[in-house]
Amino acid sequence: MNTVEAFEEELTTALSNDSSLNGFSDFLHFVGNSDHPKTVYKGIYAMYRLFSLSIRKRRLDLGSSGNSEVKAVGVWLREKLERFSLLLQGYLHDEDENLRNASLRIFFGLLKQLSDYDDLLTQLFKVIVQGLLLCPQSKRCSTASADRFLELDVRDTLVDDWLSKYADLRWYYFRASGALLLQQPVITSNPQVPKNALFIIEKLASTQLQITDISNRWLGDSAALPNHSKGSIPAGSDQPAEDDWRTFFDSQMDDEDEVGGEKANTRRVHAMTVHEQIRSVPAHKTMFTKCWLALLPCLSSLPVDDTREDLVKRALSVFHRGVMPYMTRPILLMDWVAGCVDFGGSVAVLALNALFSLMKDYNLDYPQFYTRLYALLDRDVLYLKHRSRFFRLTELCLQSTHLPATLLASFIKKLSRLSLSASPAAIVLIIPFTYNILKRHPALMVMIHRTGDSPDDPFDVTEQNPTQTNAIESSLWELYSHKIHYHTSVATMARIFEEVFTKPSYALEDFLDHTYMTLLETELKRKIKKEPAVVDQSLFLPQSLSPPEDITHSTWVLA
Amino acid sequence: MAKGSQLNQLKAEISQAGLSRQSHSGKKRKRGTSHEVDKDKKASKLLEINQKLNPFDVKVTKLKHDVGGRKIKGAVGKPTVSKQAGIEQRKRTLLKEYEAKDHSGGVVDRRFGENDPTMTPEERMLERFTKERQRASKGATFNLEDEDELTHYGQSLSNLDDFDGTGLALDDGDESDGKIDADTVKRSHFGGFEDDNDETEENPRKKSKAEVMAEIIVKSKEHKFQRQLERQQDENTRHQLDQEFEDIRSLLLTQPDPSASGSNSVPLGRLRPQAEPSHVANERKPPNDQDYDQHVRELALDKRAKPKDRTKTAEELAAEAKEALEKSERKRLKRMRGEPDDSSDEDDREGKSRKKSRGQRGGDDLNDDYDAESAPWSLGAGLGDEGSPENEETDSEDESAGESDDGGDHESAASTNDSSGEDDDRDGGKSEDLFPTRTKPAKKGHPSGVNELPFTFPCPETYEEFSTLVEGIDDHDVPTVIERIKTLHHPSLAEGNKSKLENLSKVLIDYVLHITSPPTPRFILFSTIIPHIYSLTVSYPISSAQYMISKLSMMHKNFTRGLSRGAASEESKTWPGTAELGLLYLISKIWPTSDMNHPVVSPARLLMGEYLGLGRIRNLQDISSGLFLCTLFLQFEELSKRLVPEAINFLINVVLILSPHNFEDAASLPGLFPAPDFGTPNCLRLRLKTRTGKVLDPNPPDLVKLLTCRSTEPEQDKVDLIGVSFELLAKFSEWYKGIDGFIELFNPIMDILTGIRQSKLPDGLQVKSSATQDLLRRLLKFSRQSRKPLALQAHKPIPIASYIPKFGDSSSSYLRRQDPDHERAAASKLRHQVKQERKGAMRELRKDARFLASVQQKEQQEKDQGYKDRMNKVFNSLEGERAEQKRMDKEKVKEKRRAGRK
Repeated sequence: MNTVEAFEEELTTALSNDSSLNGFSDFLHFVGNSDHPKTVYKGIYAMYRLFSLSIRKRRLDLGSSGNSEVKAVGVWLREKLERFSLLLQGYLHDEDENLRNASLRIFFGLLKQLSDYDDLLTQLFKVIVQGLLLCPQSKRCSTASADRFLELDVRDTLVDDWLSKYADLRWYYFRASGALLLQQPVITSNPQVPKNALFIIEKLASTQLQITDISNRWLGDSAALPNHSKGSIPAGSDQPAEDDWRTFFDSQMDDEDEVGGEKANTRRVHAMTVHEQIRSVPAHKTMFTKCWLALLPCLSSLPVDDTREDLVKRALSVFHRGVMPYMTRPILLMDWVAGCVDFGGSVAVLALNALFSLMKDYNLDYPQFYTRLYALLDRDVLYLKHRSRFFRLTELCLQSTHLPATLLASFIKKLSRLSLSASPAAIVLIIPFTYNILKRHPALMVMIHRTGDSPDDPFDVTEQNPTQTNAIESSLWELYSHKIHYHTSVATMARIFEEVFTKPSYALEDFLDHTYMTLLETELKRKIKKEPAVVDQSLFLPQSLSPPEDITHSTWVLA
Repeated sequence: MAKGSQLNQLKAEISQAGLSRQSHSGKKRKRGTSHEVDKDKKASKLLEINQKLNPFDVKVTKLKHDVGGRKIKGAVGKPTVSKQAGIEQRKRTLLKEYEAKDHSGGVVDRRFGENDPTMTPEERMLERFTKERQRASKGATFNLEDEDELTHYGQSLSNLDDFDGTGLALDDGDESDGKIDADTVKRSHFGGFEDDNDETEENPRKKSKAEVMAEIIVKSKEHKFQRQLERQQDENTRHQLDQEFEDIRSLLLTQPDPSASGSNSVPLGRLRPQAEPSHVANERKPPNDQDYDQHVRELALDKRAKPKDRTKTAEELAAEAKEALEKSERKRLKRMRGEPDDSSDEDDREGKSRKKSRGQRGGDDLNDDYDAESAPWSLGAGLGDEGSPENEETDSEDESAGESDDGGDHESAASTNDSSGEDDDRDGGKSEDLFPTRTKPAKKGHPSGVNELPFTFPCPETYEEFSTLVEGIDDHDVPTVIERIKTLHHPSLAEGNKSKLENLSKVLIDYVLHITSPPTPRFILFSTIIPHIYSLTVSYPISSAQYMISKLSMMHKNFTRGLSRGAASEESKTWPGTAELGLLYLISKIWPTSDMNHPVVSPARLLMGEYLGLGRIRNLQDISSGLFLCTLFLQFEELSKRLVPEAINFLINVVLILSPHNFEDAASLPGLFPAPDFGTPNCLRLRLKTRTGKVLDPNPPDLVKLLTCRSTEPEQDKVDLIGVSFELLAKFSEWYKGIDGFIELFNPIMDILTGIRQSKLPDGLQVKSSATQDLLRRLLKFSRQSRKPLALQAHKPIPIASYIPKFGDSSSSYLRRQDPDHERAAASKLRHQVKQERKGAMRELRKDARFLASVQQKEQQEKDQGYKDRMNKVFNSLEGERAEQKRMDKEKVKEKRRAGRK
């Protein structure tokens, strides 16, 4: 304890008196080797105060006047600062929660102090991002756990307190993390990086953040002063109006020629200085896009297992709301999304959402969309977690009255077949879904009402193309079978097919979010109004000591 | 009709009616009696013809556009006829009223049926006759002959010998009609005394008056004695009957109140020997008066004895039982189909009748719900209801037992239950126990050892109390204990027992959950307790249902908690254990599981479906639990045979997991059922190891052993479980063979069964497998043959509602005012009707007034005429007198003149 305070006092006086700063080295060493979290905590804060003081005293200047002594001190201090930042980087992944948050706070405090030093700023941010994504071992405890994933509280503090609030920090972060994710060897040696990156960016995307809102900045205004820019600015960039105008046209052209457009855009953004980019919305978008585009291939390159699928799902689930609107050209995501759709399973179901918004809003031409959609109707689709999302989208896709009846017939026939092994909640969803389609396409009514006698079912389950399954010549026997389903609501719903189709359509939204849990809770909460019926006296046979005669006892030995 | 002139027509009509002169003319001479008869007939016929032919009697409204074939009301009218009818009617009613206007009083004919025109005179007479007879029979109240004794001032008249001295020979002769016999009359009445003397010559000497009288008296006394004797005999017989009647009555009457029916037949003034011996003994002193009064009072209050339902024959009983069964089956079917329950009013009716029958039992009958007689079991062997003597000694013991486990533990348990209910499901808290756990094992040994059961028990309030109670009691004695608790706390015995028993049902459910929970589930004890829970449930269905529902919701919470930890992870507890399965089994036994909507059964079914649909298979216990659930589903739907997709999925998954087969991965499986556990490492371990050397046969598996992991032969268990799943699949396929989607449902299953490597299964399983396959193949074949395309929309097309006025071929309603708004049209129609009615009423009133006016005028005319006549008469007489006077005067003058001349 004493030593920390002693160190700090000594160094503070040294800084104010311009005396020897060699204590920094010892202090760093002392803090780095300390095991006690409190000591470390105090130490890093003391260190932070010392560095702040030295920054304020402009001791980190390399000296423009060529004073070698000042320069030497500056270089030496910078080296110490780097060591300090590396130390803090380790503490970001410490066991002690206070220490983790403290180091994160100190990092950003330092960033603010360093607003004037562009190079230091960039360097420090790189260290921070590395610390966040790579999660290096804390120096304090060598035996830390093997999983090097970002702690939840660090992520939350980071996103809530800094990244979501301050546009410039966001920009720096995207730039740094994008750069890091593009380094292939780093990724291969540290497979945790994509996950950590996704962890942060997912949170960022899910906080309803407006990437385009760049009014709030963390770093001092001095960092953005034009006199710090080196003067090599293209003339056009100074006028924001023209800038917007050009970007607009650029993005228009981009649609025609993606590769060329990409280059044009990057060049344009590259042409700006850092400070200008921080103040430019397109630049922010570009950084954001770059970061995502760097991240997605990393996700794909992970080994195929559950974690990868989980990560992809998490990315996809924020895609259409939090990501695509803020990209320079969301169409760039197309390949990856299409790959996900082809992957199948719940990934495909999630990717479908992104794909659909790409098609709808960004004019993507996706061949054989309905064939792919039909292929998604496999044995697991009704048991997926994202079932409601899938059906919401599917209903949207099948809403057009211009779709061929054969195609829709295949869909409802397949769904009806799937319903034979589905949960009550899913059946309750399928029935109004089918009803709506039947109502919208009276040509399909033959599937529930056909005169004449055709002994065989012409429907071909294995056919991949929904227009060639012959479903329209079949009947929805499976769906109608549910009229004897054990759950009352299902049985009642199944009977709508034998009634007159007078209802215009069912609001599918009412049926989408049913699960076993919701159904069961409705049943359990039902008030008992009148005395429930009890098994009739005559049917209830008095039992002696010998086991009663029923199916259970004839099948099992109960003792 | 309209041919020729009026005259011609008249002629034709008359000749047609046979009234023409010519026919008569020839027979003019013959007129006589026949003429008188014909006269009326002829007159009526003539009148008819007259009316028919008079064109002024018929008023025709001319139609503008006559459409043929229609009958229009009011087109042709007969104003004179209707007017005449109106006048007649008024004469009959209004005129009568008018005439009786200022009169009061008069004679009203109240004879029976006089003003009832529906009765024929004969009926009227008959009715009057019966009434008269009835009145006459009522008059028998004063018939003195029926009375036993006549009294005067409380003294019997028969004891009065006042007539001895009197000469009045009020003698009762041999004839009982009370007449004085002819002899006496002859001798002593109407002066017969004198005549007698001459004619009775054969008597040696004339009897004196006193002698005669004495003779008469003697005779009458003798008669009297004879009558008394007779009466004595009658009384004896009756007495004897009365005494025998007590016996007969005890046979006849099973009514609880002996005083209700017997008193009628007991004669007045006599003691009731059996009914109230002590009471009578007390008040023997003035017996007559008090008894008499009492009997009168009783008689006034007494109900007449009612005939009992006669004993039913065996056939009738059987028919009744059959009808009751059929009725309950009908009700069940209705509930199964989920039709709106109109049995409620039936219940109401039953309730009413039940109330009525209950009303007879008396006011403080608390036994309203509890039906002890219907309990299908009996008390413990040789143990009747004689618990009360030992009350004191056991009570103290029980009290101490109750005190020993304090409420504190229970409360803490309850509070944890409550708080954990609000736990967030995500936090993955430990799953809670379904029943309150016993924190303190109470060591309260029974002093006299286990063999001797105490007779009385306190009613346990909580599960802890009950478990302390049955601590150390043999399993097979526990039902007896419960039975005794129920008997001791029968609701009719004390206030508050009802709620105690209500609570007991909850305690028993807890207890059942306890005994079926690991480590040592006791299912035999469980099945002996079910009837007790059943009987309590019958009495208190709502509280029992609520408690079971709370258990179900607890199970559901546990399950979701298990799921949130990861359904596939080893340590999460998802599948139900023995206690949960026991509860579900209990539900299947107590509640009608075939109901479409049932507060307990519906959630239970859904919960079972949830288990089967969301639970993931990790080991043999999971499979056993799931298979047991499938069996329970079979039991639940035994009558209703509803579709349970989850059960089918689970069964086929179990077959896939346990048995060796040819399918490589999930994608190659036939059908579209989900197979989430297919190919997971856990499940690959579960596959039956083929040919382990021993020959294994599928047997019914032991649930308890399987679920508590006490089994030592996993391969045998696997064989058993595969066998069970084959059996269940076969049963389900039998059920579902009728549904439309049978082919789609069972075709994949068939494919999988054929994909199993038969040769690697044990022989017993091979047999089962091939039997199931055969069954399925057959059912599928039939189903393929019989299936037809759906034709669900064979409704009549519904016409679109139209507001366009209809222009039909037959009717032209466009002239009529039409309003598309139905209600407005109805209202205007009603308004119109009211207006018409008002007009009609006004018209009638005017006619009435006119009629009255004419009557009054006629009266006035008559009055005037009378006056005039009277006046005329007066004038006439006056004139006559005057004329006479004048003539006299003239004569006088003439005479004078004549005299003067002279």
